[in-house]
Amino acid sequence: MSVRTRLFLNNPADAVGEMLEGYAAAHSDVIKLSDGMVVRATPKPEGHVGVVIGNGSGHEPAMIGWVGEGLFDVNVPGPIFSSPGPGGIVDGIRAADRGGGVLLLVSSHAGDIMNAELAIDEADDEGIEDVEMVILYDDIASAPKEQITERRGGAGLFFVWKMVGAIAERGASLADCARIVRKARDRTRSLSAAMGTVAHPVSGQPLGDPDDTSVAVGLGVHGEAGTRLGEDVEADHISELMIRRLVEDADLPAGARVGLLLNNGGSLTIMELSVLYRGARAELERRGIKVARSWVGPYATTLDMAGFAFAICQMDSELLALYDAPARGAGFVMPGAH
Amino acid sequence: MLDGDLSRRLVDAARRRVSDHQDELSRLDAVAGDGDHGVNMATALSEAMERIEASDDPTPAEVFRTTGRAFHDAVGGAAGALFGSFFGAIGGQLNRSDNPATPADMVTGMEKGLTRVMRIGKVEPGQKTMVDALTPAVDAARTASGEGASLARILDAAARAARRGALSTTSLEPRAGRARYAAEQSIGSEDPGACTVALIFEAWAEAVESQG
Repeated sequence: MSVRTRLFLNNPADAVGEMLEGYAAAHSDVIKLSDGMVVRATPKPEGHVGVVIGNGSGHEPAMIGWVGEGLFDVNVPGPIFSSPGPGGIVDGIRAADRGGGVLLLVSSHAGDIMNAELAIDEADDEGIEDVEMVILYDDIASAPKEQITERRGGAGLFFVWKMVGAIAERGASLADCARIVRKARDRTRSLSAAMGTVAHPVSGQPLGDPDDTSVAVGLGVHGEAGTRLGEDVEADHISELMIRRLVEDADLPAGARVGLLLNNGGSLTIMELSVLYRGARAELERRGIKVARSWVGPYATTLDMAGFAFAICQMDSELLALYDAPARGAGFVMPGAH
Repeated sequence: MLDGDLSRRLVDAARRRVSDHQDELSRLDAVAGDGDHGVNMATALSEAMERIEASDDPTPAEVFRTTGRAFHDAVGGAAGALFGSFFGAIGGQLNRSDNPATPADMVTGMEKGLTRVMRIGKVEPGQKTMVDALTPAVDAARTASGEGASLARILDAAARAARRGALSTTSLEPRAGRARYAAEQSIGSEDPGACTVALIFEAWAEAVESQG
C-alpha cells in the first residue's frame, strides 16, 4: 500500500479557498460564502439561537456540509487540520447572531479550544454578549473514562450537531440548546480504525508511519496513532471489538436504544462499510441493544484515509425526535419524520 | 535600542530562518502531529512581513502586534494561537514602552509572552512543547538583561538556551496537545514547536549582531 501524496489540486496552498468556492457554488441553494465563512443561504428567523463552529479543513463534509436548515448557521473553516484563528471565530459568532444568543461549539482539540477561548475574550471585549461555548468530546481511545473531559472530539459529534441544529431551528433558548448539546454529548461514544495513513496535501508529509499498513484502532481524526491489530484481521472481528469497547465504556444495558453511526473516514468502499455495519449491528443485537437509527456514510473524513469510525448515541424520546427533525445541508439531509 | 526598523528586521530574519528549515520542521511534526508545522510557521511569518511592509514606518509595538495577528489569522490551530500570543504579548509590552524600546522592555515582553503561552496552552515545562525552549530562553534573557547586557548579548544567550531546551525535548514524552496521542512515536524526536522557538531566537541573535 502506498500513501497518495498528490491530490487533484492546483497549488495545494490554495486548496481550502478553492474548495470553498467550488462547494458553495455547487450548493448555492443551501449555503453561501461570506468572508471565508460558510453561512446559510436563508438565515434563521430573528431571535433564534445561532449555532456556529470552527474547525480545520480536510474533514469534509464536516463541517461545511453541515450548514443549513436544521443544522449550523455558520461554519468557519480553518487551514487543513488546523482550527481557524480567533479573528475568524469572532467573525463567525457575529455572523451567527440573530439576536437570540450564539452557541459556539468546539470539538475538543488543543488548537480548537485555545482559539475559541481567545475568540470568546475578543467577542466579550467587543461587547458581544450571550455567547455560550461548549466543548465536545466522544472518542473513547483518547483518554480513560475517569478523565472524560480530556477526550477529543470524534465522529460521534454527528449526533450532537444533528440534535442541537434541530432544537435551535425550533427557536429554543440558548440555555435549552446548550442543555441538549451536553445531553447528547454525554450519551455519545466513538472509536475509529484505519489501515495506512494519508499525506498532508500542503507539506506532502505522511501522518505517522507510511510503511505501517496494519489495522489500527483508536486513531484520531488527524491520523494520531492508535493500537495496532496486525494486518490479517477480519472485518467482523474489528466491528465486534469496537462495539464491545463502545458499549462497555457507555455502560449500555440490554434494552437500550441507540443511534449507530458508521463514518467513512475517507476512501472505504460501500462494500467494506456494509460488511462492517453488518458486524456491528450483529454485535449490538447479541447484547440486546436496539439500533433505533443508523447513518452510514462520509461525515468527518481525514482526506482519503482508509479508515472509519463507529459511534453510538443512547437515545431517548427527546433525542430521537430531534434526530428525526428535518435538516438540509450540502453534506447531510434528513428528509423529515420517520 | 529597539526601533521599528530593527523590529521589522527581526521578524524578517525569523521568516528567512524558519522558511529555510520548514521541511525539517514539518518532518518533526509528522512524527506525532499532522506534518504541517514548518509550512504553517513559514506562512505566518511571510504574512506578517507582507503586512509590516504594507504599513508606513511602523513602531516596534506595531511590528510585533501585526506579527501576532498574522499568526492568528494565517495559521490558526494550536501553534497559531500560541506563537501569535507570544508575539502579541511582546507587542503589547512595547506599546507601553518608549520608542525606541530598551533591551529590558523587550525582555519584559518576552516574559509576558511566555506567561501567556503557558496560560493559553495550559502547559508547564517538561511536557514536550515550545515552552521547553521558551522558558530557558526567557530565563537566560532575564539574567543577561539583569547584568546590563546589550540586546545582542541578551538574544545570543536566549538563542543558546532555546537551542539547548529544544534538544532536551528529544527524550521527553509529550503531555500536551495532539502529540500526546502519539507519545511512543514521539520519544526520540525533537518537538517541532520548541525547534521553531530556537530558530527564531537564533535568527534574532544573528540579525542584531550583524547590525553591530
